[in-house]
Amino acid sequence: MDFIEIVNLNKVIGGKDILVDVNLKLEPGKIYIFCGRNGSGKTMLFRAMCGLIKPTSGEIKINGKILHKDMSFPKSVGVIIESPGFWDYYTGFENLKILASIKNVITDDEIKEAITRVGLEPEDNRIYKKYSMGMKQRLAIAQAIMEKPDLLILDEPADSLDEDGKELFRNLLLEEKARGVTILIALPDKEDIDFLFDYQFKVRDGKVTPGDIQQ
Amino acid sequence: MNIFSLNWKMMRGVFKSFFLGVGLIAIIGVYNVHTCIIFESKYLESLFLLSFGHLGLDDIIIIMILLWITPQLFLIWILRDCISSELDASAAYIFTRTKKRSGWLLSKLLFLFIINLLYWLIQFTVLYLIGIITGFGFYNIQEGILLIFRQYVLMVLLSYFYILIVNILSLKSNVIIGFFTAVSINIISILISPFFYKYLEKGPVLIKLLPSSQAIVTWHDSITGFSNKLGLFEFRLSGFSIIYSLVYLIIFCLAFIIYGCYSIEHMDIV
Repeated sequence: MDFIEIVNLNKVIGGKDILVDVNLKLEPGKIYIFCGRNGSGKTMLFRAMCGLIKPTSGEIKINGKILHKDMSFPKSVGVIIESPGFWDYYTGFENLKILASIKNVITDDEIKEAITRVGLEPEDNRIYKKYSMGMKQRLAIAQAIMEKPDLLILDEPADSLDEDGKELFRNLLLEEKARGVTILIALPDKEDIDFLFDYQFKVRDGKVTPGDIQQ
Repeated sequence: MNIFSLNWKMMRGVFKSFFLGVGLIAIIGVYNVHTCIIFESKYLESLFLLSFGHLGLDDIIIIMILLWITPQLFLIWILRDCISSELDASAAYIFTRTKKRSGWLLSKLLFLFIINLLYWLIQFTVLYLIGIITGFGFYNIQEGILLIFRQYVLMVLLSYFYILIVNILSLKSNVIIGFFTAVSINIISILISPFFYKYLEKGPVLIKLLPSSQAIVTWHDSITGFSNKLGLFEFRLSGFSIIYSLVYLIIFCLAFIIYGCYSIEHMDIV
């Protein structure tokens, strides 16, 4: 069974076609790459899959349930969409604790474990505002993985990471894939893909077309 | 779901602003103590009515309007972007952890209501302390407490009415438009009432339909009438009851909440 099925998805905002007739079937436990220029529609596609925007027509099924009909948001999803929106005057740990308190399904130790996995220090007393761009990106990755979701939707997740950070991110992807997580990653057109993936899609003018299958 | 702990943690700045609110009511309280002394009405009822529940209908006295409206505007200002700022910054992170958008909105609106309750509780307590320190006492303790309680409920509901306007309009447009709409309704509602009263035959009926009139206790006729004896307040609009105002404000607040839930369920978060 497909983990995600998108059927004839269209999205129009302000009279402009943002997503055009998108049809996708994504299997569980695979890594999918969506490449496209800025404004091509890949972030909007991800927002639609997260439940943040409603389709003008068509439907998105996640794990057999239709988004905006059977549920408002995917049940188990970790997300990075565009710039990370954390609270400036809290430490990294406090920020994640605030977010974790919404679902209340993980312990402080699990939050700390997620922070450690992305190469940050859980006991770091610096507030988020003082973090470097790379640290902010790592924290965003930590918030996406901390609740061990079944689906990861990551929009340019390696953006601002240094070489060490990218290496760490590659390993983390493999670990999450081994756990059976379905991972969707949006990347800019020109970026070299230096990590393992299963399928690639091209996104252009709101249309999604199949790209490479990695050997 | 533990939205409340999330809210409390993020609202530290708002609570700090409450100290400024205390300063504000202290200034207003001292000014009104002075007025009460001039009119030889050293009663707590007079002090509370003058501070929160009285504006002249015969003429516009700008200083009285400013004293009445400033604590409300301050509260509306500090709570103006509680919902939109969180949506702008962290909607993707928060919503993907919730089951329903309207559930999140309701928890925020409930939280804003509690903040509103606390704000006015602090305002009323500070004014009471100022009254006690300056030698004011109740004219009639039982009726006085009831009067102050009614005033408190009306102020809470009226402020919530405006807080809802700001926060829910900001979902559809932006905070600036939401804030100026709420402030404009409040100010126009107050400034236009004396005009209606003086020049229109149906003036009293129109005044009863304006939102800000609902919290001005001395414009109501259903309080027991003892406040006439306080020496400062004589005017009443006949047929304008506290119950009417409560129902008016509750209905509008509920309507805004329902509209907000509908809007957030159908809006795109881009």
